[in-house]
Amino acid sequence: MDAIKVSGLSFSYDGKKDVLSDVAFSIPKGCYTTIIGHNGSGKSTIAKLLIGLMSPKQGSIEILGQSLNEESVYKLRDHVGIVFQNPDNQFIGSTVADDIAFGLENHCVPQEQMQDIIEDVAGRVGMLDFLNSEPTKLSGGQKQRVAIAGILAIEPEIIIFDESTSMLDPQGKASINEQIQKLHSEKDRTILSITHDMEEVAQSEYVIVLKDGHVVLTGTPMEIFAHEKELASMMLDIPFALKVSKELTKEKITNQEVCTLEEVVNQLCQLKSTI
Amino acid sequence: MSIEINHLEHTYNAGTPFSHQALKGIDLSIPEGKVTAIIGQTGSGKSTLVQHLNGLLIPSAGTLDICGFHIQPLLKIKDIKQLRKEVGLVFQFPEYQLFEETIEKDIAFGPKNFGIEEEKANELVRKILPMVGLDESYLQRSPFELSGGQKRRVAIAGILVLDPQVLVLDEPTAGLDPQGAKEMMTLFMDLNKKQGKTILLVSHDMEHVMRYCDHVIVLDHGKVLQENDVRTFFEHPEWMIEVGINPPAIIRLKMMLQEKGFKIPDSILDMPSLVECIKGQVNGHE
Ligand SMILES: Nc1ncnc2c1ncn2[C@@H]1O[C@H](COP(=O)(O)OP(=O)(O)OP(=O)(O)O)[C@@H](O)[C@H]1O
Ligand SMILES: Nc1ncnc2c1ncn2[C@@H]1O[C@H](COP(=O)(O)OP(=O)(O)OP(=O)(O)O)[C@@H](O)[C@H]1O
Ligand SMILES: [Mg+2]
Ligand SMILES: [Mg+2]
Repeated sequence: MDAIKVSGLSFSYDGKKDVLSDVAFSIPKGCYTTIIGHNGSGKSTIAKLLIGLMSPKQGSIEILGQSLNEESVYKLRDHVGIVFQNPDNQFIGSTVADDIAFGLENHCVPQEQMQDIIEDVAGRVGMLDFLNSEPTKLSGGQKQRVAIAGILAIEPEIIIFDESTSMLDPQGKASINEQIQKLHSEKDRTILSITHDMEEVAQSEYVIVLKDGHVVLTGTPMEIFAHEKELASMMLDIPFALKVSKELTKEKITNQEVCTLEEVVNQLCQLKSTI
Repeated sequence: MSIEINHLEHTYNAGTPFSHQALKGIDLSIPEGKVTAIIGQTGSGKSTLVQHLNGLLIPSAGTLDICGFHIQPLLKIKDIKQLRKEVGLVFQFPEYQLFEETIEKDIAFGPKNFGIEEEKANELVRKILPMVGLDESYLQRSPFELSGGQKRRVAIAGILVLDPQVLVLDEPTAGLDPQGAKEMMTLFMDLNKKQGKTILLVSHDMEHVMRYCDHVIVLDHGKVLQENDVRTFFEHPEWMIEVGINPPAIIRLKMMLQEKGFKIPDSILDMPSLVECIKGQVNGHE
C-alpha cells in the first residue's frame, strides 16, 4: 500500500497564481523519501496540504489508502506527523516537557508512561537539561531539537520533516539524522524529508524534485544526481561525495560513480595497493 | 578599528529562578576588514554574543568596543541608531526581523528611518532586491506570505540596504537552496573584498567556513574555546572532533581514508590535490 498518493494536485494561496500545478507522486509505505527544490518551489506547501492544514484547489491526496478530506482529516492526523520549517510554529506548551506531553496526550498515551517517554526522547535529542525551559526562549538549534523530540515521542506512521535540521550544528545534525534513519529502518516508518542538504538526499531511497510548483524529476538519488547540469540550473547541487567520485572515474581510478563518502572509501579500499 | 570584547558575560533572566548564564567571560579581538566565523554547538552562545554587537543585548558584565562605541552594563548607549547603522545584524530567524505589510516597505524601513527620503529609499530597494535573488514582482507582496528561503532573502536585503560597515550574519544561508547559498556567500565576500566590510558569520556550514572565512572562533558553553586562522584550524581535524564539530566533507573523506591506511597529508584541503594523492596509492596508478 502507498503511504501517500497524490494526483493532479494544484494549489493557489491568492486564488490567482498556482504555486502547485498538477503535482503527482506516490510514496510506498516504509520508504525514506526526500523532496528537493529551489526556494519557493512549493515544498512546504505540499507538506501543509498533506497534513490537511489547507485544502487543495484541485486533485486528490490519499493517506494510507484513505482519501484526505474534511471528514477524514482528524482521524488521519493521528497517522501523520510534521516538524515545521520554523519550530516556533510548532510549540504549544510553556515548557519543553509540557510541549512534548501535549502531543502524547493528543495520542492518548497513559499519564503514567509519559514521564519516561519525555525523558527518553529529550535525552535522544540532547535536551534533557532543558525540560523546564520555555521552548520559545531557546537557541535556534535547541528549538529544532525540541520540535523533533515531539515527533519522536509519538512516532506516527508517516513523518514529514520540513528542513528540520537546518540550524543544527553538524554533529547534532548527524546524530538526529541517525535517529530519523532508525525510525525508518527499525520501526518501518514512512519518512518524507524536505531538505537542501544533498548529503541527506544521497542517504534517502527516493527523491522528488520540484521546480516552480511542478514535479520535474523523481527517482533514486543516483538517477536524480545524473542530471547534474539541470540540478544546477534549478538552484540545486550534487553531493560532495559524488563530485569526488566523478573525478575519480574521470581519472580512471574507479569505474562506477557513487554518491556517499562510505561508498567512495569502500571502492578505494578495494583498489588500494598493498605495497 | 577592530572589535574589542573584554570579559563579556550575559545572563538571561538574571535574578529569577530561570536565570541562565549564556556567556561566561568572552575575550576577543575581531579584526577589521576580515571575515570571521563564529562556530560552536547548539546553545553555545553564538547568537547571544552577536546580538551584543549592535546593542540589541547589553552585557551583564564586561565591555565591548565597536566602531567607536563603548558598550557596558547599565549604560544606555548614546546614539544607538548610529550604531545600528554601522553594524548590521541579520537575525537567525528572519521572522523576527520582518514586520511591514509589503516587502518594499519592509526593506525601505531602515533607510527611511535613517532620514533617506521615501523615493530614494525605494530606489535603493530596487537595487538591492536582485542582489538577494528576488525580482520586482515581490515588491508589493507581504513578507509573511513567503517561503522560508524567500523570507531569509528579504531579511538579508533589509540589512544590506543600510550599507553597514560591519555585517553580522547569524546563519544567513540556513534554508537557502544550494546555489542560492553559494550566491549569497559570494555576495558577502564581494562586500568584504571590494568594500572592505568587516564580516562576522555565525555558521554551521563548515564548507562555507573553510572556503570563505579568514578566521575562526569556536564557542563552547559560553566560552571561547579556540581562535585560529582558518587554514590552521582545518589542518587539525582532531580539534574539530574534540569540540564536537563534524568536519567538512572533504576532511571527513580524508580521515576515513587515512584510517584505512591511505597516506594523506593534513595540509590537503582541496579536491584536486586529494584525488592526485589517492591516485598514487591505488593499483595500476602508482
Ligand atoms: N502564506 C502564503 N501566502 C501566499 N503565498 C505564499 C505563502 N506561503 C508561501 N507562498 C508562496 O508559495 C510559493 C511556494 O512556497 P513554499 O513555502 O511551498 O516554498 P518552499 O519550496 O517550501 O521554499 P523554501 O525552500 O524557501 O522553504 C512561493 O512562491 C511562496 O512565495
Ligand atoms: N531569551 C532567552 N532566555 C533564556 N535563555 C536563553 C534565551 N536565548 C537563549 N538562551 C539560552 O542561552 C544559551 C545560548 O543561546 P544562543 O541562542 O546564544 O545559542 P547559539 O550558539 O546561537 O545556538 P544555535 O546554534 O542553536 O543557534 C542556550 O542555552 C539558550 O537556551
Ligand atoms: Mg519551505
Ligand atoms: Mg543561534
